[in-house]
Amino acid sequence: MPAKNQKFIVRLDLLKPQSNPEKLPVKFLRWLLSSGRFIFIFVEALVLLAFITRFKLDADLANKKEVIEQEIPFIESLKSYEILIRQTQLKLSTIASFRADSANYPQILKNIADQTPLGIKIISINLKKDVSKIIISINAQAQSNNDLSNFITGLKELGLGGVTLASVSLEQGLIRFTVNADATIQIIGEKRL
Amino acid sequence: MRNQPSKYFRYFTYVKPLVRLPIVRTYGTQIFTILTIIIFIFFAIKPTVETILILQKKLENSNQVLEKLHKKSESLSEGRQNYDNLDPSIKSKIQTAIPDYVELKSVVQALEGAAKINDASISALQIQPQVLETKLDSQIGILSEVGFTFNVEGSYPNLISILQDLSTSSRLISIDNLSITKAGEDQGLIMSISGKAWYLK
Repeated sequence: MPAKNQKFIVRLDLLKPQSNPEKLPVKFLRWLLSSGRFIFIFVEALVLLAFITRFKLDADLANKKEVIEQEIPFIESLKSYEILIRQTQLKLSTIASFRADSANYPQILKNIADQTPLGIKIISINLKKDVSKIIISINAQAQSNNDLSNFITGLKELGLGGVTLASVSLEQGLIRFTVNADATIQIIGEKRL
Repeated sequence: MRNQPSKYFRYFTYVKPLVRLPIVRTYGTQIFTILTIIIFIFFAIKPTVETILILQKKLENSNQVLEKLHKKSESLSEGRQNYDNLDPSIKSKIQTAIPDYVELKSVVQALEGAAKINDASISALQIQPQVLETKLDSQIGILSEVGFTFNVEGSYPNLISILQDLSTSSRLISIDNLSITKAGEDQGLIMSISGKAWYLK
């Protein structure tokens, strides 16, 4: 059974003096010359590589800084233009947003006047701009209920929202009332008002 | 002078038995190798790698800065060219719409002119107080407002014309609040406007 005996092979170095084991410095020296040298070589190679990389990176960084420093005076020379351009852009954007958000007050008043029945007399009208909305408050007097009803219906037909009759009173045979409404600027600008 | 056994007393007492331990004798080399690698990693490789990473980060930042500088210089050159190509009348209109200073005169002129053209009489014109500060040319101006209240009396068509004139005036004027009331029997209407004009502070 040769295959079975191979498992129990005992490796004995009879030349090595078993009674006199190696001293620690000798062991250390042996390690330095065997596996230790590979570690040292590997580490040295790694450190060298790292240093080369570091030098390269340092050189690249210095180059970049030089290019940046060359670029800065040119940009600084255009500072007055930059301010001018930025201010002009700010003005243009303000004008654009003003034109987009501005309410067409004459058109609002005209449309309200156009649909006001003959029996309604407007005493005062107040238009207040609130972000993208116009809050309308109308103080008027009507000769009859029908006129008042037609007036409110007409306001609703204009596309105004939140049309509410805030107050109603009867004075000397006339109906005095206050109507509140609101409308978005888009509706006013694009649709009917 | 101490004799030889006494000198190495500690070595023979503490170190020698440790070295003779079977586990140390078997795995001592491997443990020492691992320890050496760990020491090298911590004291030689790690700081160098850290430095490289820091340098790489710096280089990356420098690249970004350089890229932005290039972009900015290109944009400025293009902006300068566009601004120079702009029609002087357009520049003047922009400047008039939103001047670099308060220029109350142009606000008053716009309001007064609109009333005068449309045969309406001004009953009140109030400008909100302004804090005037020295403007530095080296700084970009901040958009500021000058508020006003304007009361004018006239007929309904004239008041509508005033509103139209104000909306197309050379000075940008925004109306925040508008109210129209009847002045009295056989009299015209009073229109009260609260609004604002802009300027760069």
